[in-house]
Amino acid sequence: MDWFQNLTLGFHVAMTAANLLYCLAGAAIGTLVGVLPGIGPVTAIAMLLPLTFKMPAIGAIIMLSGIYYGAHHAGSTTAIMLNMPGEPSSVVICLDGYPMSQRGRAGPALCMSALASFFAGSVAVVIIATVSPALAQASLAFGPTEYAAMIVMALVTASVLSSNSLATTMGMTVIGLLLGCAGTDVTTGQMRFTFGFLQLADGVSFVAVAVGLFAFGEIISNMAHPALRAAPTAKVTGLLPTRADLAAAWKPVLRGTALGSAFGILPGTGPLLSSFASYALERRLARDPSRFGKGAIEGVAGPEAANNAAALTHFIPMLTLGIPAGAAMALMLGALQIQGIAPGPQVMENHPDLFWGVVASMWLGNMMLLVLNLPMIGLWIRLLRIPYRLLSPAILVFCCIGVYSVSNSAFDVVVAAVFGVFGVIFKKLDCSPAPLVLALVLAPMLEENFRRAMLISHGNPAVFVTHPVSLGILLFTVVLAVFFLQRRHVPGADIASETPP
Amino acid sequence: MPSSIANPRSFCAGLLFVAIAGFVLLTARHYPMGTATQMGPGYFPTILAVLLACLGLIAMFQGVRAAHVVTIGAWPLVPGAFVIAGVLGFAALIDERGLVAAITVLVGLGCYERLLKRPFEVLAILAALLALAWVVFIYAIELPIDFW
Repeated sequence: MDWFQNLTLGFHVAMTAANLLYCLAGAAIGTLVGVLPGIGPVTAIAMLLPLTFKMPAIGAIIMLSGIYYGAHHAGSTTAIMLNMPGEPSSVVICLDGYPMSQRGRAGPALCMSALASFFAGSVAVVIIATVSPALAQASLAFGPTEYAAMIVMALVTASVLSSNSLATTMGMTVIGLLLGCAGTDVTTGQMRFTFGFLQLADGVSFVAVAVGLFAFGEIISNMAHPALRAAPTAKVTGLLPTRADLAAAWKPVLRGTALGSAFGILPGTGPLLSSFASYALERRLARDPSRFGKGAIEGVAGPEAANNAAALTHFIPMLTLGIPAGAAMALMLGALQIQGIAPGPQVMENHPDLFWGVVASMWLGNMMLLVLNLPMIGLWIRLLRIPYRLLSPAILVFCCIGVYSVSNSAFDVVVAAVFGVFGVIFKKLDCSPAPLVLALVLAPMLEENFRRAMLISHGNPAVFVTHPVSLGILLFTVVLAVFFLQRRHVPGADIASETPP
Repeated sequence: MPSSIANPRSFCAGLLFVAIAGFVLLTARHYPMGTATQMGPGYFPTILAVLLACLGLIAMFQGVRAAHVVTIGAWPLVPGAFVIAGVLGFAALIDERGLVAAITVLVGLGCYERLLKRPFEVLAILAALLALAWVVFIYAIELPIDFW
C-alpha cells in the first residue's frame, strides 16, 4: 500500500498547526466567496495571491486550494436558500434545492448537500492519491510531441465543454495563445508584440489579465445592471434529513461521485459539466421523473456530489503534469511558479511533502467545510445581506493591490484596466473569458513543445500522428469533442432553459 | 448594424477576432518565419492568427445565419469609464504617491454614483478599506509599497 504511506506523510504535513490554519483560512474564504455573488474562485485566487508570497509554498497551495473547493461547496447554499447560484456549477442545485427550502425543508437540503459533498470529497481524495502517481510516472516518458498533444487536448476540451458557441470559445482560446506569445521568444531572444514596452519582455501578467477579464468586467456589468437579490425567506429549522431522504439519496450520491471524479480530470469546465450531467442522469433513472424540479432530494444530492468530486479531481492534471485544467488551476500553477517550484511530473518526486500535504489537506478541508457550513449556516446567510455597493469598492482595491504586488508593477495594473474593457466587450458578445486565461498560461508551454517536436521530426507535422501516445491523445480528443458537440444541445440546453433567471 | 443579422453578438465577436488576427499579422510580418524544422519567432503567431481569422469568419457567418434573434443591448459606458479611470488612477499614483492616494482615487471613482449623494458612506468605506489595506498588506505581509 504505497499510497497509504504517502497519504500518511501528507497528513503529517497537513496536520501541523500552521498548515491547519491555512487550510481553515482557505476553506472559510472559499465559503465566503461561494456565498457572495460577483466574486468567483478565479477572482478570489487572483486577489489573494499576494497574501501567499510570504507563506511557505505548501501553506500557500493549501490555502488557495481551500478557496477553490470551498467556493464550489458553498455555492449551493445560496442556490438552496435564495434560488441564486453562488457559482455557475451550482445552477442545477437551484432546480430542486430551492423548492425544498420553500417547502420548509431547507435544513435537510443543506445537510444532505453538505454530506454528499463530504462523501464525494473523501472519495476524490483517494482517487487523486491513486491516479496521480501512475499518471506522473507515465508522463515521465513523454517527449515534446506528447506534451504538445496533451496541451492541445486541454485547450480543445476546454472549448468544447464550454456552453457558448464553439467558434467563439475556440477564438478566445486562440486569442489567449496569441497573448501568451507576447514577450521574449525563448529560442531566439527576439521581442514579440511588446510594442516598445520593456515591462512586456517577460510576457503579459496572467494575474492582470484574469483580474481584468473576470473581476473588473463583472463589477462594471453589475453596476450597470444591479442583480436583483432576494432576501432569504425560508427559515432553517431542523437540519437532519429523514430516513427516507437518506434512502433516496445514497445511490445518486454514489453515481454523482463517480461521474464527477471522471469529468473533473478532463480539462475544461469539469465541475459545471458534471453537476449538469448528474442531474440529467438522476432524472432519467428516477421512477417518477415528474418529481424533479419540485424538490426531489436526488436532484440536490447527486449534482452536489458530482460538483465537489470534480472540483477536487480537477487538480490532478495541474499537480501531476503541470497542465492546468481550468482558469483557476492556471492561477494556482502561477502561484507555484512564484514560489519557485517548476510545475510538472517532477513535483511529486522532488516535493513529496508539498504534493501529499496538499492532497491530505483537501480531505481535512472538506471536513472543515462540513463544520463551517452546517452549524454556522445562519452566519453565511446573514452575509448574503451585504449589499453589492459595499462589496465592489473592496473588490476593486484588493484586485488592484493584488495585480500590482505580483511584480510591483504599476504597468500590470494598466494591463488589468485594458482587459477590464475587453472583459465588458467579451461579456456583451457572449465570449467566455475562461478559455482565454487557460490558453494564456499554456501558450509558452505549447509553443516550446511544438517547436521542439517539429525540430526532432525535421519539420514533419505527421510526427503527432505517428507517435502512438500522441496519436492516442489526439484521437481521444476528437472522440470527446464529437461526443460532447453532439450532446451539448440535448441535456444542457433543456436544463438551462428550465433554470429560473 | 444591418437588421438582417440575427445574432449581432456572434457577428461582432467574429469581427473582433478578424480584426485582432489582422493586427497580429500586421505586427508579426517583420518577425522571421524560419522553416517548419527551425521555426522562427514569427511562425507560431502567424499560424494562430490565420486560425483566429478563420474562426472569426465562421462566427460572423453563424451570426448572420442564426436561428434565434438576440440583441447586444446597451453598453455600460458610464460605470465602465469610472471604474477604468479609477484603476488607471491607482496605477498612476501607487509608485509615486503611495497606497493612500491610490486607494482614495480608486474608491472615489469606483463609488461615483454615491460620492455626491451619500458622501459619508463613501468616506466610511474608504476609511475601512484604508485600515484593512494597512493591516493586511503593510503590517501583516509587509509588501514593499509606501503607505503614504
